[in-house]
Amino acid sequence: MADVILSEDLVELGITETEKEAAIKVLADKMMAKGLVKDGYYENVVKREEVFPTGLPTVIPVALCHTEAKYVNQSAMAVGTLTQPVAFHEMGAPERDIRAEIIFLLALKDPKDQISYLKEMVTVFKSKEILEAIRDATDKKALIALLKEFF
Amino acid sequence: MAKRKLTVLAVCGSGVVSSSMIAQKVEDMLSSLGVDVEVIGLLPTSVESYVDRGGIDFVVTTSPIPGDIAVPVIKGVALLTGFGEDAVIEEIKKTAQEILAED
Repeated sequence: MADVILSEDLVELGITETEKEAAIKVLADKMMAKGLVKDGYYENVVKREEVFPTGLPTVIPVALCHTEAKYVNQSAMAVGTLTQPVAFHEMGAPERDIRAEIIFLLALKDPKDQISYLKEMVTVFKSKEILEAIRDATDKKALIALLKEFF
Repeated sequence: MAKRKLTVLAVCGSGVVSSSMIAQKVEDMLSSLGVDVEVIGLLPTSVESYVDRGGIDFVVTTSPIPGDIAVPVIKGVALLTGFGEDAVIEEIKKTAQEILAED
């Protein structure tokens, strides 16, 4: 499987933004700063979110933001927790909103090579314990260690 | 019920990310029933013409699909969240069994 970068400098705990665009930007800027994504990545994640929303009504609601591979230099995932839940439209039911407590921002260079990674994400989405541990994390290093048990 | 192979479309906005997540689930659950299945990831806007060309048995999607789809369309977001997942799994199994029973 192709590597997906997951590191402390791609984590933000306690994002205080209350609009999804601003919250996504906090994470997208981290991707950009490391050169993992190209110009236009953030704009296209936001644009795509309007057309194909990624809010999931999981036990602790999450958003799984992403965009096309052409904006990606190297596969990575950024994770952010939100001080206050932020409204995202629901995947498959755009007329509804979910109030996300965690944002996963994916940059995948070749998602077909990363299917086992995506499969593990579903395990995380379905686990109340894991989602709670992510949401309540206070230490980036510990959060990365937790996530690396799955990815 | 090992009969012919089923061909299923897994649909999401990117054609890859959440569709890959559901594709894996569909493959696992139908394989466990002894059903041979191929799952193809696709964008919502491509589904109508793809189905019209024939050979597709049913569709599982995480996005609304435009147009008039000639085969069963099953909403698959529950496969990612776990909520209502059992009902979706039942619907997929039932749909597959009905299709195979018609052959």
